[in-house]
Amino acid sequence: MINPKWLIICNLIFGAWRLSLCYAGDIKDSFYAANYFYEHADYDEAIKQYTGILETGVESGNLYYNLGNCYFKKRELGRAVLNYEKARRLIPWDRDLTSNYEYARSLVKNTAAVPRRNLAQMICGELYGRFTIDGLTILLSAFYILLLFCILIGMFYLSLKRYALAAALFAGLFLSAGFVGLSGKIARLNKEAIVIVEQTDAKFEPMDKVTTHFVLYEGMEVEVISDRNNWYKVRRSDNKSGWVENRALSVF
Amino acid sequence: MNRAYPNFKFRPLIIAGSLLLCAGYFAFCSAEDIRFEATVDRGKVALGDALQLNLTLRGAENIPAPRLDKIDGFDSRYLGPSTMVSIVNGVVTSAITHIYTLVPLKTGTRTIGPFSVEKQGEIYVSNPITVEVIPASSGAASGRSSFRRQNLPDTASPDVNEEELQDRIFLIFSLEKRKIYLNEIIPLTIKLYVNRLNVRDIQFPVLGSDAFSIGKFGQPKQYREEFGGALYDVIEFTADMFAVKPGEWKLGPAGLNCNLSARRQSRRRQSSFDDDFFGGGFGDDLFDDFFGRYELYPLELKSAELPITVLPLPEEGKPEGFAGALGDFRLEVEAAPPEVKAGDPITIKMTVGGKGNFDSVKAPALQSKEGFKVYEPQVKQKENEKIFEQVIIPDSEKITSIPQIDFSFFDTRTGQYRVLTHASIPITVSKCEESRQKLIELPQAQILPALEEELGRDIIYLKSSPGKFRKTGRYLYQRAGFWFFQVLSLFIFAAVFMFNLKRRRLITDRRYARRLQAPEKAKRALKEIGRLLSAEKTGPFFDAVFRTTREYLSDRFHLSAGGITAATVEELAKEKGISDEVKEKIKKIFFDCDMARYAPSRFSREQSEDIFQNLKEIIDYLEKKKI
Repeated sequence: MINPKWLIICNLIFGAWRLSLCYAGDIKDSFYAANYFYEHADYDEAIKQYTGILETGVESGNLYYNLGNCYFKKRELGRAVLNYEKARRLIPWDRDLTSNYEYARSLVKNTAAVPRRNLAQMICGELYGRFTIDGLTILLSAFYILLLFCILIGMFYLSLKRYALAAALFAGLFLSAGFVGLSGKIARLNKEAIVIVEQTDAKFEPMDKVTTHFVLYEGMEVEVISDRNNWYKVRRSDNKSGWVENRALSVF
Repeated sequence: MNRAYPNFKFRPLIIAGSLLLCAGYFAFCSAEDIRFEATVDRGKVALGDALQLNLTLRGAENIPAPRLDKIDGFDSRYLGPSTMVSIVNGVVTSAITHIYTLVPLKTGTRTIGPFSVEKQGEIYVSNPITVEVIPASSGAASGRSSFRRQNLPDTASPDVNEEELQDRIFLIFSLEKRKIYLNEIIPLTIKLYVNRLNVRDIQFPVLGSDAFSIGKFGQPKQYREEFGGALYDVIEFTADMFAVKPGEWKLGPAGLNCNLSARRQSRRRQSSFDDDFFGGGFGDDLFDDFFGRYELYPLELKSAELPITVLPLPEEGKPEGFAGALGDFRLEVEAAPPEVKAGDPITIKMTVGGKGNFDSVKAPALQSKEGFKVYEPQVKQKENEKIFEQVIIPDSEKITSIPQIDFSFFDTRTGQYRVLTHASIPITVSKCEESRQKLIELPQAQILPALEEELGRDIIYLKSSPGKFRKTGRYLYQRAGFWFFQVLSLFIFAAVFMFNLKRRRLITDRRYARRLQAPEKAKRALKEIGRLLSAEKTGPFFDAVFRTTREYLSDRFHLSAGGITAATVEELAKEKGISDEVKEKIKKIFFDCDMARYAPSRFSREQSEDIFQNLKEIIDYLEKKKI
């Protein structure tokens, strides 16, 4: 005779699983509906559908990609770049995304002079740029397990000790480097922003009637250093910093 | 000095005279002729409805109500007086109005008055009034119909009946026309008529139909309108609708919910629904509400259904390229820039404006696309126009004009198709720059120029699948399960590491290995000894005891087993700090085992058990002692 308690538990688990499927089904329907509106050039409605999915608390790289396309079609370059950046955090290896993102960035007006990066920075940038935060976390975890495993192999099989130690050394190096990269990525969460208005002034102080330090254009990426009232202190790619109104930026 | 002040004794006279002059002045200013006027609140009244008659005497106060002789065709009742005094620019006016209610008893055109009143011997006569009494309203053609009242007050006067309420609040639903084309947008109007009732919480009307698409009702308009001879407060709701299926249909009924505010019945009132003497049709009596003299009664009003014929678009005369646009439109076209190089884009802005169903309006079409690369237009829609911006690129400098642009639609007013044509637009296309040529060398071939290809640039199309969804802002490193896995891995590693260390020590450290193995070996041996004791095998018993004691001590202290004798035990005990008692026990065991070798029968079972017990105690003691 089956214990009724277990029967209830099984039913609850099954019910929850079915509910999750229905929920996932609704979200997919909204996605397809949004695609339909995009195909019929109704970009506002498509944006509304995509944004509705985001409001349910889920996201995906493809969703942000499509949203970026909608904003691009609407000639809202800032928001297009913003959504492409969000997509790059989730599907950084996607070629279509890379193409669209580069094209959108190429249309950004008067990009400030980008300081030259050294070789290490370029390598790290290329390497870490290919990974999502979760991907890098899993990779680091794998290196960590590999490190422990290599140490144990070296201990149990003395004939393989040399190779095991060498492998452990590499694993350790990659682990350290990966940790630095992951820390950097996590530190940049909610610290990067895109200019979403056509043009805005970065001022010396967080007030309206003060001198403008430099101008930011739609689609430019900045780093948020601090905030005060309705102002953000931002740093441009050429290390110039200034205060910008909140409404001109979207932090991601 | 001679001062021109009056003599003191004439001062009272002067003051009195001044006062009289002032009074006389005001009397002069305020004096006006008495006028007697008769007015009614409306010129047309339905049979059974009440009419308000005001008899106003201007320039007089405190004149009693004129007695009304029986008015032919009306039943009258006096309600009360109302006085008014005002001073405007120094002119004082006063008036008294006596108010009557007249209820018509017969239809037809009736004359009320003239009335007369006497004041101080003077007779004042009012004007007569002509009133038309019409039969009680049967409802408008557009769908005035029933309502459903709920919970009218129990104290309602027997004078209030459903017909009276029906005439005082109703819903009329109307359409611009009854025959429409498929997808043709027409306005629909729903009007709420209210006559001298307190209505509140009026909700938007509800109208459902499968065959029609009905837009949202906009902000309603409010005004007064005479209907059937009565003055009503009207709230008008409008929305656009279009039919989605052809055929004969019935639209409606439209429904509207509201609350009727009724005063609790008192002796003075005719009915609970009549306005307060000083109130208005939609007015609130704040104080009455505050003191709880009003109650709310929900009303659900419904209009009648309206038959509508939905015609499909005729096939005859349908132009080629007709894309379904319905309405009355105009077309404007602009193209810029007018001078380009071959391969450069030109943007054509086509604006379709007018009145109609803009959802059905598609982009106007170029008559010919030859010689152009044509892209899909971008669409912008405003209130009364739709703008299409289309990019075209001329292929070569031979192109001299943008072809004619046509837009066809079905004019619902005339019931015919129309085609709007914009003539071709002349443009100047100049030759593009020579392409950069690259020479390539082919083995055993002529040198051929290679043209550098110019590629267009745009964004890549959408992703057709949503990909893998994840919770926003939640990363793997934030999950407890991930960290649990890492810590578990570390524990496993540490456990294996420690195990290996121990294993290696057991191999390399002989003393440690023997020390570790000693108790296990002794335990197994003691078990065997116990068995021998139980089996009363004295000889093997003592052999086993001797062997176990010697092996245990040699393992425990890393000595040669053969070197353990009674004599060496003395030194061992001194060296390791073994207690005298235990030392004596060890020596006795050796002695007894020696004795037993030669005379095993000498030992009784009890003695054997003592020896066995001693051995166990020795092993226990040495295990516990940290040597």
